[in-house]
This record gives sequence, C-alpha cells and structure tokens, in this order.
Amino acid sequence: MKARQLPLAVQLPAAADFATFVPGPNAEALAAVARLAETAAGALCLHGPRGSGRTHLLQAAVRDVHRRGGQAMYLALPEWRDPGLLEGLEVLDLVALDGMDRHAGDPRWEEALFDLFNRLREGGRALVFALDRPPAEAGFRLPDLTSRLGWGPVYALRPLRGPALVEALQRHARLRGLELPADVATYLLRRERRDLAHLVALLDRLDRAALAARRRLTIPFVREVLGGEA
Amino acid sequence: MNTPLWQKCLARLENEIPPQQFNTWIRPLHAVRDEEGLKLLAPNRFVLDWVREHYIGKIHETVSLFEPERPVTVRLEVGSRPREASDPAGEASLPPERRFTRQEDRARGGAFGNSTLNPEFTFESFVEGKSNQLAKAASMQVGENPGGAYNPLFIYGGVGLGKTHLMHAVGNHILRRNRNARVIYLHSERFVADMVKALQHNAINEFKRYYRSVDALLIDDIQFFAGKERSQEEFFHTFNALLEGQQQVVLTCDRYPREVDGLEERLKSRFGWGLTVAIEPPELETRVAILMTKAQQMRLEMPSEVAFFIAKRIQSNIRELEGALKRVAAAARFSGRPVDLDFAREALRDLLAVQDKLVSIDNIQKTVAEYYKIRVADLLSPRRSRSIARPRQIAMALAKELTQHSLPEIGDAFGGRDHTTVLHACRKIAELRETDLRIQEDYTNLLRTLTT
Repeated sequence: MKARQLPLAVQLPAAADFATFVPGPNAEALAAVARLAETAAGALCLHGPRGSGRTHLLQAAVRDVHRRGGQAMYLALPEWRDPGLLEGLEVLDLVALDGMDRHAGDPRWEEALFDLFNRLREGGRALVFALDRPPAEAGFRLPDLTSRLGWGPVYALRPLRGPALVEALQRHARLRGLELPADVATYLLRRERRDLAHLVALLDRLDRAALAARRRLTIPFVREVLGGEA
Repeated sequence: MNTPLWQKCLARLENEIPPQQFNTWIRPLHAVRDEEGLKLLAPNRFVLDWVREHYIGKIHETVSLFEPERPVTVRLEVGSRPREASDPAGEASLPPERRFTRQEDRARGGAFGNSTLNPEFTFESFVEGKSNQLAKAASMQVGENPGGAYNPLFIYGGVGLGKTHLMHAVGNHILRRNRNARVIYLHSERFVADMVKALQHNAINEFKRYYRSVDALLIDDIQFFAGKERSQEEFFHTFNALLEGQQQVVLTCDRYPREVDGLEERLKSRFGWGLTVAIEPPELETRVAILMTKAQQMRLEMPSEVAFFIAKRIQSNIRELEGALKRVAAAARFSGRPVDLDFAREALRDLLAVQDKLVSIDNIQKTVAEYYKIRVADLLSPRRSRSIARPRQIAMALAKELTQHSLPEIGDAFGGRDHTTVLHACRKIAELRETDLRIQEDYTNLLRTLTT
C-alpha cells in the first residue's frame, strides 16, 4: 500500500468579501451591509441561523472598510469572556460583532455593549452585528440595549437553497483552488445537512483529501472520503 | 491611512494569518512611520496585548523582509490615527470618496468627557406631541435661561422616547446663544469611566476641576449610577458645586428619580430640586409625524398611509420606528421602487412577523365579536342566524388569512366545526367582498385593527 502524502497542516479558509457572497434571498441585506461599509456610519443588525452568511457579511464589511483605508475590527463574541475587550473601540470606523446574543443576560456584557453602542453612535461610527434571533427575542435584559438593537435596519438572513447553495459551494471551492463539478455539489447537498457552514467545513476536508490523494473531486471520490461516517 | 511599508506587510500577512484572526487583530491596527521606525496603534490594551503575544514576531519578520538593509523597529501603542490631518503619503493619494476623514477630530488626547453634542438634535427637529410637550417646553426654558430657570432639569421616561434628543437640544440652544459656553454632554457610564481613570492616574483633582468648570453639564441615563457608590459620591459633589455656581445641570433617567434602586437618598432628593418632567410614549399621530419628518430628512417619498401603517404596527418606541423606516428606505433604494403600502409591508415582513405571532385565533374572535357587538360564545355556538353566521364567517376568513393554522384547526377553534365549513366561509366572504360594499368595509376595518 502506498503511503499517502501528508498535506500542509494549515489550510486557510477562504477570505470573505462581498464579491464571494452568493446573495440568493439575501441580496438586500448584502447591499445594506456593503453600503454601511462604504459610509462607515450607522448601525445594522443581521439575524439568522448558522450557515446563513452572517459571519461572511461581517468579515466582508471589515475587509472593505480596511481596504478603503479605514480601521475596522471583527469580533466573534462567543469566544471572549471579558467585556473589557470592547473598550476604546469607538476609535475604529467600523466594528463587526458576531454572535452578539451569546452574552445576553450577562449584565456586565450588556452594559458594555450598551456603552459601546452609545460611543460609536456619538462618534458617528458604524456597527454591524449578528444575532441568532431577532432583536426582540435575543434575550437581552437591558431594555436600553434592546431598543438600540433596532436602531438601524434589521435584516433576517435566510439560508441558501437549491441552485444558490450549489453556486455558493462552488465559489468556496474555487477560492480554495478546487474544482467542484455541479453533480458533485448536488450529491453533497443530497446526503449532507444543507447548511453552508457545515458544507464548507466538509469542503475543507475534501480539499485536504484531494490534495493528499492527488485526485479530483468526483462522486466516487467524495463517497470514498465521506463514506466512513455516512 | 497606513504607510506604504505597512501596506506591503498587510498584503503578505493576509496570506499567512487566517482571515478571522486577520480581521480581528490586524485590520484594526493603524501604522505610523516615524524616525524611530514603525508604530502600530491598537484601539485598546486588549488588542495590543494580543498582537504582542501572538503576532509581533511575524510582523517583525515581514517588516524586515521589505526593509532588509536597515532594521526597522516595530512599536505597539494604544491609540488611533488623527481624524483630520490626513497623512499626505497615504490617505491623500486615495480618491476622495475612499478617504476616511471625518469633520470632527475625535482624538481623545487623554482629556475628560469629550463633549459630543449632535448638531442635528435641536428643538426644531424635535417632533412635538401630547406625550412630550411639557418636557419640550421645560427644556426650551432651560436653553433660554441656563442655570436660572430650572436647575437641575430632570427628564425621565422609557427607552427610545427622545430624552437624549431634548438634552442635546438644550445644549445646542445654549451654544447657539453663547458660542463660548462650555457644554458637556456625556453618558453616565462615561462619567464613571472617566472618574475611574482619574483615580488610577492620580488625577482626581483635574477631574473635579474639569467637570466643575463647565457652563452646562448634561448627563444621560443616570440610572446607570445605581450601585456605583464612589461615582455617586463624586457626582454628588460635582452636582452641588455646579448648582451653587448657577451652572446648568440636565439629567435623564429611565424612571422617576425616587424609583431608581441603588441611588443614594441625598442624590434622589437633590434631583427633585429643580424640575422633573416625564416623556410618555408618543401617541399614533405623533408617531406618524415623526416618521414623516424623518422620511423628509432622508429624502424618502412616503405617502402618509405608509407612515400610518408603520406607526400603527410599531408602537414600542421611536428608536424602533426609526429602524423600521430605515429598512423601508434601504429597500426602496435597493429596488428603485416607489414606497407604497404593499412595498412597506413586504420590506418590514420579518420585523412584523415577530409581532404577527401575536395574531391568534382567540384574538381574531375577540376582535370580530367586539366589532359586531356580539359575544365570542355566539361565534362558537351552533346558532345559524345571519347576524351571527356572517361575523363567524368573517372571523374564519380572517383566521385563514392572518394565521398559519390549517382549515381543520380553524374549524376546531370555532366550536368544533368541519374544515369544509371553514373553506365555505372563506369562499363566501371572498365572494361577498366583491359584491357587498358593507362586507368589504367591515373586512378591511377588521384586517387593519388586527394587523396594527
């Protein structure tokens, strides 16, 4: 048996920008976030389930502002425990907070977020944030904060379905220098959970396997790689 | 804007650091090239420490790659780029629409309070109604005669009702009458943070001097002083000094001062020395007027029936009203379509869906019974006289239109009727709405009541 070549240990997930976002039913949200990044002022709320493109849009906004010479920061709040992280961020042109409702109910976080909202607003800066649920149902206890969540436009993101999902998956593959034929994409959608985040993670696995085996992505190959756990 | 050296480094680092980390730690940095080398400014201590711990090696490496012949030292500091003085080598070379400059210079420079009155919050732009008349009149008096009329002015009311707007309007009015007046607006959390900073840096005397030297001190949301004894103590003294010096104090709070838990008694009683006024939630007409005013400011053409529709559906507070309007405006810009009722309903679909969960069959039955002055029990009874049967059919048709319930479920909810009865009711009402003006009118009235 031939030993498999070990692929590189680090696989960088593709950088998210507006151009690689497949809008599907979320075209209006895409336009709104792009505009917020362009003007770098105001607030915008995105909510939707995992895999609906929240993180992609937030990171694309940060990247866009930075590309224009501004300072911006993306923060995945669930990873952090200390709200002190939010201090002084009003010097930035745009702040993007992912998973903001993860700390709902924690008074220290709620006050810190409330304070950040005020500071950004006073400075005319931009804030874009993502929640699992609509603001009114996000579980925040501080009414001052909840009312601020709806200050700007609120967009519900919907997961991609059908052809849009195939297209998104193919785009993600292309960003990894991988050719994902439509029939293979459709095959993946049939047997896997149809959530883009899950599918992209799968794509990374397939990418590594294809690299190691020096194979192209075909249905038999995919079945072989994923087959073990099906 | 960043220096050319840092630009080159960024392009390289972007390929070496995973995007999420890059977006979190590298993009917020601002680079300044000076004689000593490359200075990287981080927005706060946290970012600085993280970059120092995880990325400084890589950054050093990359910098020396581009400047191999002479070593460049890389320093990390907390700070941000100056807002107005644009860097000639960087930002000025970008086309104007891509530059990040702002009218005001917000560099903090270690000073306290950095007053930020919003020039748009004036008395002129404040939409008056029954709910806020008194608060506005009192605020105008204070603006005309700071330190004299009512001191302190204490405005209280729920979230998003316009307290901050009025407070800024007082400040702007004072400034308009006297350009040299020192008006400081800040949120109570800032006051606390400044005080903590002053204590840490042994600068409490400067803190005191600063806050006691102003002509007007406007502090928003003082309920956040609750439980912070040291801040209350400091504020108490500042407050007394200002009142003695006939300098104006304006405070806002989400409730009546006596009702704030965790606030010292002596503060509560002092807050009542001047004038305490309430802002109530705006009634429908005021909400409509607010929407029309804001739409005008946004140059959005919006028929008044759309304003009525939004104002009826969103009753909680002005902030959410504004959010809804922004959503409609964005949708109009996006689609290029004129704003009419259907358009607004579509644009606000998600927002209203949250409220629509409140439209239940129970609620429909209650509303229809009330409308026809009959009892809910009649609707559920087997009685088949016209005066009962027609309203029942209308209620069924409304339940079908407004809820997600199936025909059998609706039938069940109406005294255990068959689903074909419900289907018949829906068809009958659809038909009558075409031919009978009265029925059409009743149906539309009920629909409006239920969806607002």
